[in-house]
Amino acid sequence: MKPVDNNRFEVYRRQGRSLHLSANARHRILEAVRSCETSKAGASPSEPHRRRKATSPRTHLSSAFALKAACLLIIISVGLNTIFAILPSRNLETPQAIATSPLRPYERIEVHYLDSSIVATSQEALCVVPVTLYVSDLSSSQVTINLQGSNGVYLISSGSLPTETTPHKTTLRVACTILGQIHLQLLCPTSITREQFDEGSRSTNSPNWTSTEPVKLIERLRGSQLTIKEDGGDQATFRIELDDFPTLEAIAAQLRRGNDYIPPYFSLDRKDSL
Amino acid sequence: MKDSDFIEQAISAHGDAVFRFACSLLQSTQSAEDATQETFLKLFQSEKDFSSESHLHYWLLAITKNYCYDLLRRRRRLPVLLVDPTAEDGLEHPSTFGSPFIEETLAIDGDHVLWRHVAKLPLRQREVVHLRYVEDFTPREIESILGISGINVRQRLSRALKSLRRMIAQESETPQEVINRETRR
Repeated sequence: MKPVDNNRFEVYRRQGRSLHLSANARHRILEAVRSCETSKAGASPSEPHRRRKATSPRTHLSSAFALKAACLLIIISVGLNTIFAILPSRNLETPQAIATSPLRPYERIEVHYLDSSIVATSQEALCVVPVTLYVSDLSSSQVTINLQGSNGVYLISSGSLPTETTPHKTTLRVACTILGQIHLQLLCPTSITREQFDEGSRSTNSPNWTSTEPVKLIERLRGSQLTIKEDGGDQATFRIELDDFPTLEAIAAQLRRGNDYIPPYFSLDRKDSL
Repeated sequence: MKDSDFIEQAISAHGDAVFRFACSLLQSTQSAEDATQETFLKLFQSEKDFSSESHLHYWLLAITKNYCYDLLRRRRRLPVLLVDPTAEDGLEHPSTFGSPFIEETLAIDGDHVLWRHVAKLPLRQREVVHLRYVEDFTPREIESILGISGINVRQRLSRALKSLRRMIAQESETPQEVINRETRR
């Protein structure tokens, strides 16, 4: 290492080396040692050596140590809080994301009104409305849904279209996401005839049934019950809450309230849980 | 436990080095004498066996350093200025603690400039500079005494030398050079 200036450091060294412990100081130190020696020998000559107790115990922690200890404590607390608050909910697959949604009810049926369609077979025209059920406390990846008292509304898997041979089912086995979301479609026959449908398909203007038929489908669900059964045997029954929407106009208004980001929804009223 | 004869021999062999190190850290002969006394009392009470004279020497310097750090920490906690009955106004200002020591204690006359500048260095740099340039220890020996890594020793030395260069350069500046430097900032 390059010194600042060799001459300067030589002077510095010689000046430092000129410091000597004075004779008085040496004498005083030896006196102190001898008095210690005498007091030890006089106190207990045969007593074995004991560990000397500190003469001036520390009563205060140093501030640096206290600061480090406090920081460490905070980090550990935050870490433990994270582990014990979040991990159990992840492990139990509890749909915390739904529970923490501040603007919507905990359990609901979202109606993808804008994606609803009219599909025609040779026999009839059917209204198909995609929906998403949000249900808590589901631990299975597959559930069986049963719709009772549906007044002609049936269930069909998400993404599929009814054909001539598609049976009208009120029981459907579907997948359930980790957040308790179940995607499926509701299906019901309409009063639209095959001729009207063909005419509407040829028309440049959009026929008005695409907005009215889903409203009628929801109205048919009034008083129906939805039972969701898990593979483990647990099941829950819900009623679609339409008490606040007594007329077709009220249902239509609720459906039109939604947009691309927030679909319209109706609450699910949990009846019982076995 | 050691006897007083052993301590007497140890004081003869290592007393000056311990005192010098304490002087460098505390910048006061009186405090340094107290630190030396405490160090040798600790040696007397210690049950440690030393394999060689250099082992004992390192141990004594390490104990001195710890005692000086404790003392300085306690002083920093004192809420008021230290009282010196010999001072004219009865008060001894800690901020000017070092300068009378340097002028009065160092036997060799002449240029005390480096002592003054070293006294302004942070304690951790000052101890390394003392051990390296007064006691002539190698960086590896300083590692053992202070219980720090070799990189740390070199880093402290490098920073200390940089600070010393800057302080010496600033002291030798003419007034015009000072004005120019301040204007550049």
